[in-house]
Amino acid sequence: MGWLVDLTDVSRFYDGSARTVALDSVTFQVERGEFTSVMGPSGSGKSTLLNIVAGLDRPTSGRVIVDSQDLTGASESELARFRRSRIGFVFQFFNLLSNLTVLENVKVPAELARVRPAEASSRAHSLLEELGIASVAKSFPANLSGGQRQRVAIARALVNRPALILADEPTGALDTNAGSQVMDLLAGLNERGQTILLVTHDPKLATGHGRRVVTLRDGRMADDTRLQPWRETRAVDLVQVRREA
Amino acid sequence: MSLRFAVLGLLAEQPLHGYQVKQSFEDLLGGTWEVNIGQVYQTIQRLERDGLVRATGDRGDRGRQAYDVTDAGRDALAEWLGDPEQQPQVLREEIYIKLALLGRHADGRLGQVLDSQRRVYLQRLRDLADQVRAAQAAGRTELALLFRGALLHTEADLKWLDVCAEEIGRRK
Repeated sequence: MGWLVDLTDVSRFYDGSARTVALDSVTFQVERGEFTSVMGPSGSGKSTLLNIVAGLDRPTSGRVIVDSQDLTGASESELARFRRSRIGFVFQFFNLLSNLTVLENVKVPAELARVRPAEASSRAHSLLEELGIASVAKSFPANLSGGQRQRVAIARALVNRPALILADEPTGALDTNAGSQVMDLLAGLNERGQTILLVTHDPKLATGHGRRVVTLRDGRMADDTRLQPWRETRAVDLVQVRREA
Repeated sequence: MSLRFAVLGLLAEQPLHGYQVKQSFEDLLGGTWEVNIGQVYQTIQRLERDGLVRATGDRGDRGRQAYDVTDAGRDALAEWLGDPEQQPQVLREEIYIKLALLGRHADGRLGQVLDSQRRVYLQRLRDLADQVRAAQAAGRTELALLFRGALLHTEADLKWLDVCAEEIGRRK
């Protein structure tokens, strides 16, 4: 097995007029197949952590290994290749290309990774089918609901069969209903073995699925809680609706 | 008070005998309030005394008596449903008392207490999310909303712990 994500003593400083510590000696591992939520208020370092795991940013010190690849000393082109082939991104605002159809959007990462066109099309079609958006394959993003757009973004994230899905506030721009559908979708992917790292400020989102919640505070790991899903709890041991007379 | 009106509300739907009232009441709230049958009979007797319900039909097998709502009962129910709640906020968790005492007695342990409480709340959020999903899957919209209410309260509790941790961090 081994770790899919393995961060050892990772720090990230930004030098401006004063030194800002975005991450402070973070050691953090994610197993293959895990659904982990990273939670913290804005400025806690969670975006920096995500960027470092994604190979979008480099630590000031410490070691980063993702999917057996040491990112610490990787060149820019190695990082770009790593991101394209090993990571699927899901963002708050979908980041779809407005001049391309749904199908074309999903195919973009496969084309960048030089997957054969027939293979890219076949993967994109079956993902759209799987995510319940095959009927809008020829539509443009502007004509879709927020929930549909995020499904397209998830299909795009999956097209290169990434080792890891990084989801950054994936429901932040959605209403409650569409948001919970997107979360159910991510949970379903995880049940089929997809490793997911979710970043959110929302404790409801962080705890709603998955089995682990990591909390960052001021760039440090403040907590690492393992959740037990679906405990056989009697309702009355969880909630009591009563007022003493 | 709320048991009285819940019983009234259930009897306003259809006549029920005491045991059926107990079952319907517990089902209504998804098991979040367990009542004993004695409480239910006592509540029905008081409602009858106040003219809000009356015995209806013959005593069935095993001598069970069904009850029905009177016009006065319907009026009282409508009034109760329409009244906003004005009771003080209830903070029953002992953590509030612990916090007040720990500030005086156990310097250094407060952070630890807050952390372990926080883990309990994180798990509770998960348990409640599971209950919401189960209620929704069963088509029980009102019950799902009840659990969502509890979920949002737990979220507030969690935020409060973070405020406490921040405040204590600043004091150090």
